[in-house]
Amino acid sequence: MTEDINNTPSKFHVNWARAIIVSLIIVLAAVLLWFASDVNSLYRQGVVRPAISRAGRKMHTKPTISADQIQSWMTFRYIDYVFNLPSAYLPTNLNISDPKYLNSTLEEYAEKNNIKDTIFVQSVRDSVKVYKGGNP
Amino acid sequence: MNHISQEILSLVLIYRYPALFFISFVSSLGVPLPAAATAAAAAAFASQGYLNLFLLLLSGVSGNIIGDVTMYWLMRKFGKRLLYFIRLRKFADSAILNNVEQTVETYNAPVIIASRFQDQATTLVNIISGLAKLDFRRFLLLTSIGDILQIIFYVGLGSVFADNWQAIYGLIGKFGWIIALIIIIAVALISTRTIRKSFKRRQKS
Repeated sequence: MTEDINNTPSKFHVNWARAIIVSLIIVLAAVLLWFASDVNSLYRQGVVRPAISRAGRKMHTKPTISADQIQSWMTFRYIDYVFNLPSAYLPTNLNISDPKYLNSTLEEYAEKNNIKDTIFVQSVRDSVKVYKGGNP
Repeated sequence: MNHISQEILSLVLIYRYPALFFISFVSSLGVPLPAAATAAAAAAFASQGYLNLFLLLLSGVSGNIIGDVTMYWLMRKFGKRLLYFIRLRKFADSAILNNVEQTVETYNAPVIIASRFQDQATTLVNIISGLAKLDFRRFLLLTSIGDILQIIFYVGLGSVFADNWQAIYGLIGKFGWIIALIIIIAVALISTRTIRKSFKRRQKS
């Protein structure tokens, strides 16, 4: 009787390799759903739409960012370039006297001059908006 | 966007191509930097005209390839000794590592090319390829194809989403590991098949 029980193969044999692969696939499916919902929300916010309509855009039109997208890690040189600002515009408006300011980030400059970076970034945004308002 | 990403983007804006080369190189060596997302951001800068697209592709691809090859040779020369040194002698001589090495040896083309699309998977495959002493010319060829495809993919993504690349930068950072997961599943599936085949062969003989 005891021998019979020992010789019967277990009904609950687990194939670990298959179990791991199946669980990985389930995790992947969940993450893909999360990804799809993120893309969907970006589409609703209008982030994806410009990319789709980009195919029909004229080639000479350079993509750009808005003044509100200016961040503390951006350099003055990049901001000047992207918004097509005259080289003397930001130094005059923000009272910048450092001759090496072009290659420093907004955060570095604010730190060096003891200004809170969020306030400084906002003042740069405002200056750019004023310029763009006059020169669309 | 986290602080490291911001620092990296500042470096790209200030030092341009050398910075891109350095980030790609260091990332291929296993340092967890967002190289793929940085390539996408740099592509957005290029589409704005701030960077040159050709130089961007060149610096990204060369940084990746040189980093991959360096990691491969380091592992090929010192990999097993390193595993012994950090007291992983059992793992270094284990059947598990041999099976993974066999998988990479047998299915090196799809595994190596697919792994280029995710930074952590790239490092892992470079380490295994070095440990398995994969044929160098074949490794170099597959790595180069994978790296070129990877850079074209991320640079294409950055160019298409140039107006709103910051949102896409976040998305790549967040979901980059999906690709790693796909690669892990693929490697697991292939490994299981290889193990089963060798087991059946042994049973027959």
